[in-house]
Amino acid sequence: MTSLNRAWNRFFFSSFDPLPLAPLRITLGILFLVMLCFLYPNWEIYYGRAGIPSLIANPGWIPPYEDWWSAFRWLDGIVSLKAIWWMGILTSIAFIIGFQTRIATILLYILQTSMIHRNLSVVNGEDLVFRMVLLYCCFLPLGDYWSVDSRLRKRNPPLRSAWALRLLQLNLLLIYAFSLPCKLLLDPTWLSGDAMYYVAINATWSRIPWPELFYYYPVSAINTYMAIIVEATLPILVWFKRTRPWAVANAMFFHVMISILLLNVTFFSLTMVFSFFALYQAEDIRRFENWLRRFLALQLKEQAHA
Amino acid sequence: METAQDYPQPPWLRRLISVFIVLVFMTIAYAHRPAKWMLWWEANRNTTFTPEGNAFFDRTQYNLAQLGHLLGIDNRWEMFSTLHRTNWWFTFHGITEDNESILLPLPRQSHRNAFEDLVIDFREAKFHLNLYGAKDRQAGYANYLCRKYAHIQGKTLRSIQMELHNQALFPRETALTLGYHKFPRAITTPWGNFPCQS
Repeated sequence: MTSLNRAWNRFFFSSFDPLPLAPLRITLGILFLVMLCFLYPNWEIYYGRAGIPSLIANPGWIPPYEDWWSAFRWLDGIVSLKAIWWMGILTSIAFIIGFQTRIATILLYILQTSMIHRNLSVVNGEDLVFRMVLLYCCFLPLGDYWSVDSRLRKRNPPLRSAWALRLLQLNLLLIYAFSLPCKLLLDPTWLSGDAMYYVAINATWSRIPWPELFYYYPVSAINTYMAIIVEATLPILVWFKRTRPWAVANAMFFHVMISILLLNVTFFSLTMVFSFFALYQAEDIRRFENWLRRFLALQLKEQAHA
Repeated sequence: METAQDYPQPPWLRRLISVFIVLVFMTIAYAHRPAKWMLWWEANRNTTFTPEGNAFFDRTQYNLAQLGHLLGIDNRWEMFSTLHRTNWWFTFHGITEDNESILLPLPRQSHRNAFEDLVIDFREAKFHLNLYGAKDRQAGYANYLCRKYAHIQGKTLRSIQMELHNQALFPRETALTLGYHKFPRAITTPWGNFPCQS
């Protein structure tokens, strides 16, 4: 019992350097901002009472149950829907630059939750991932690095308790731990190697320019089994220092390819890619930072010589 | 797993956070409970467990569902676990008072330029997927369409007709033999008729 207790404490209550949360905050913030901009033309249609939710009573129509877990409902008549959109934009910018980061995170979580509960019909994968990530981010020191908050604080960021980061990491990895067995149990094509053929030829999901290539078994099978390998190995390899950077980079590449080759899941895939920064450790980011500096310096030197 | 130094925190706070962590994982596990287990439970609950045990289980289930709903951790992660064997899509027609059927100018069933297709309509495919089995959402959307297109092409709308189109996709080996992967025609099925009230 004591050793279990010790392991629990070591896993959830150790301290960590929150540097990887800076790229996570900036990239997710930019993505959220872009998503809000893309939603602007449909904002009233998707979330207005007179839009698709049809929450206004008219003769012969009884509005469906409206979820009370949405700020849109409580702000109705007080703040216009357009004003909420603008508040979302400003909050996203505050989140990206790390100004009053904790408050901005909580506000974004409330906004995302409200969007989901106002209209379940237009919920996309990215909404669900954003909501999950933002929930844990409410407890995380997102503004400790690369932020206005850290500039104003003028001191080195302290080490922080890891429990919220561990929850975020585990929940991200559980997405794969749950979805992979579902794939293998529910659709035999994941085992036979034909799954990617059905993805490639589906008009709703595929923007692959040559779906005919997937008629050939090796093409379909290699892609199918690569997807399975990435999903199966990430939740394990991420816990080991030597394999972590490659496992995470591999999963990032996998999702970037999905966002390029598949339709209608671009935001979802990119949300996953940027959330994966939570799986890195500060030393990984510093190593990458140093490599990038050296690379840029070399480029500048070569240019100067030329 | 790498080890790091212990973060100083009062024991009561650790206990509180630990309870929260356990609740979060119980909620996630509950959200992913296999349907088979629930069917077994429903069939055997009265013969296998005491009434007190059943009541406790029901209360726990309810509380976990509520917690998952409030925090937003009640998703089931099953993306691409069952792949479609058809290309399918909905169309929405407005039926006018003189029984004329008009294809409504909506995304996915009217001409869209590249910007509209890429930027504005980025949720439309998932929207149709979310409408698929949800009659209440279909009725809500039809109600919206009735209001938006109450008068179209100088006519008054009487109802909204929803149709499902299915175009079969061939298995890979068949596609390799034929040189194409989809059945040339789609099968159309009426999916709902929603009267407009005015």
